Amino acid sequence: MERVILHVDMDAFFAAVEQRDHPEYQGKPVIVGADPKEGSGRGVVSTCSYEARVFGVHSALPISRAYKLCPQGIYVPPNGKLYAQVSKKIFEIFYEFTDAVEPLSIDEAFLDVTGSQKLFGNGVEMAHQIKKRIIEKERISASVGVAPNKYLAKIASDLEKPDGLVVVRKDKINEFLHPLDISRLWGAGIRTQEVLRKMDIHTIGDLAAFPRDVLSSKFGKMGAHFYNLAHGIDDRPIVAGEGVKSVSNEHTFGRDVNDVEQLLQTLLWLSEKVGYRLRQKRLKGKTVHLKMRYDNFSTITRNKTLPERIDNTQTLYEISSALFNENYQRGRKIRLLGVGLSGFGKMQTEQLSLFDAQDRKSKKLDQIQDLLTNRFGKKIISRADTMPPKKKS
Amino acid sequence: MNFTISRNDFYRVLQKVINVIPNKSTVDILYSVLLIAEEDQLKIIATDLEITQIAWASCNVSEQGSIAVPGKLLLDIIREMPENDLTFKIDSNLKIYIESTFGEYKLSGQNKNEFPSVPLVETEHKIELKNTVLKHMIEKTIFACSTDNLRPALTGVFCQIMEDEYRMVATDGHRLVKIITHDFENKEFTENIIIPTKALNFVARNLPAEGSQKILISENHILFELPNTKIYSRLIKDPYPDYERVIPAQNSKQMEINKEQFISSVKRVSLFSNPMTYQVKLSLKPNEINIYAQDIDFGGEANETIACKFDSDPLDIAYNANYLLDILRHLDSEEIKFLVEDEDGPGIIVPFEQEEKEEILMLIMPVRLNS
Repeated sequence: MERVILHVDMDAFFAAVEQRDHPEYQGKPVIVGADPKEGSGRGVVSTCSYEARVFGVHSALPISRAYKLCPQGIYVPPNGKLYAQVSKKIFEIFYEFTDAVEPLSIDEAFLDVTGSQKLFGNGVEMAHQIKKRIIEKERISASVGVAPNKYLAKIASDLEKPDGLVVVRKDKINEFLHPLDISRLWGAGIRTQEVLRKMDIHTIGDLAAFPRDVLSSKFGKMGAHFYNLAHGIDDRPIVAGEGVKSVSNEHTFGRDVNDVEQLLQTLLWLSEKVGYRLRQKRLKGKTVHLKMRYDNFSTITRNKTLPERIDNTQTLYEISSALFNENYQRGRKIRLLGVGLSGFGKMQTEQLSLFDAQDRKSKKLDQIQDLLTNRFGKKIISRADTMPPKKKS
Repeated sequence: MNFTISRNDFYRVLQKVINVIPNKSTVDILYSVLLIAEEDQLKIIATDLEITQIAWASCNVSEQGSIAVPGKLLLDIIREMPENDLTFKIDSNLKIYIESTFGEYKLSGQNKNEFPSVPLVETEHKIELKNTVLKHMIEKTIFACSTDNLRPALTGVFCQIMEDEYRMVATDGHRLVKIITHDFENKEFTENIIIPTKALNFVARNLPAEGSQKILISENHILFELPNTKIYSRLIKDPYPDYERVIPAQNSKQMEINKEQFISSVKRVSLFSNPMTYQVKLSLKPNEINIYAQDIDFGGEANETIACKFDSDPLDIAYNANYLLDILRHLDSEEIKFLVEDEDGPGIIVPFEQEEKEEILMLIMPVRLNS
């Protein structure tokens, strides 16, 4: 049976929520992100409304650049708690249609609605219903792609944003796919795109003209993958439920820092945040990630895979600080630090450790801290060694 | 430099040190060995900067000198040489000429000054251990060391030099071995050091069966003086965890079992365990133990029951079969004692009777079934 996959992506989600709750923002460029401080601010744009995009503002743009492009914009600090609440309600709508929901982030998800067609009509009809339900319930708009697989659905949802609905029929895959630029090729980074363009491959159609073995010899394993995508083949199933691939937190310093002690304190603080989120989600992961960005924006990421899955703050800190000590070039100034954990899996067994006595203590500490945080909020308690970075004044 | 040596002597000396050469290094000179000809002796030195080994043999030196030569290449060359005398010469361009009865061979060397210097071990701290004892203790411990560099202390063996006992301890956090010999005396000093596993491997390989060995310990290095060879190693200076604290003083429940039966049963059953966790479940009962494994992903399952003596109420504990087998294989006695308290505490495994002047204890942490 042919699969029917929907990709639902909220339009300018954070900005849309802000505009909904502040009618005076409607029709105006709203930029959610760091404080621009009249152009001297640091940090980046998280999301901006379509009105702001006209000025060239987009996600991940340094906030100072955004301010230059659009000084008249309405700059709003992100309200994560609110967005999470809205997101939860939207996901409840998804679950009205199917259990096979794979969340990709707070504001987008894949839905496998193959088995729901008898109840709710075909994919296109369901897409209309979902969009309508979201607008009724949350008064914000979403764009939906309807296709036989995830790859095509994801491209489709992006084509007619905002408030789009694009359908890719099985017999129209090539027509849909071939004119697209190769930057739409999933898994092809800037370097690969350069290589492709040198081979005179500019559209997915150009790529589809190459036989599989030529691509394989040129790109190795990725070659076969590109071949499949160019022909619209993607058999990846919807991974329902916990689609979370990693949990991470980053911090951009108000002023670049080269004081090792302060950097380590920040790592501990980030480890606490990541640990808290992991334990809330009941996730344990194997691979600890460290991200460092120096003042010249050169960014390095390092990771370490552990023999067993963990979720405790102490281990996160131990591993991330060890990675830091191994890789940090002393004296250089750091702009951003990040700590993350990935490699989640079904927890079947847990190899116990001899030196868990300390771990047991730290587990207890985590539990107490989580309890207090849940009851009184994130600012109520933190380890003595952490230094919650001062809010930029 | 000009010396003549029998091919077999040269090959033997070179073979002794060749394994010290690192497989991968950013420092090119470490792929070389240093040849030193002086006073009717050929010395060959190899180092990876952590471990340095020197070996020597007598030879006929007509002109003293030294040069660094690619080690693995030299070994390949000498291996193919006839069993006769070989003559080595160098010229001012660091070319080495080897003469055998078959012909002449030339290869390039490097200046001896490029080669790292041998560490100085200046110390009053010396101990002496019987070869049999040292070798035995090394074999019993190094398997349990960690290979993870994130906790450097655990990648070595912790050695405690006391007045009338010498201890070696190894652990990777999941299992632990402690072995003590009382066949030891040292009234001069006490000290705790961590010796890298690689160094102990070389020592065990070079130890003769008979006699006893001198070991010198300085602030940062240890030196093993063995017949015709010396092994230097840097010591690991990270703090070792307080291992005594994690060994339970009294586990109240005791199982007695035949080791070989236990090993072969666990081995068979573990073949059916999940290849990610190697989990086997032991169900201890007064007169028997049930060993069970299951691999849900592939539908495999195995179940065996063997005789044992257990002095408590039935208890289920799960272990990683590989860890368990590693430990059992490193115990010499036919009958063993397995002491446990509960399903998530450490299990202690000891021989039914300790050898004379020796105490050995192994410890294994269980795997917990997540609910």
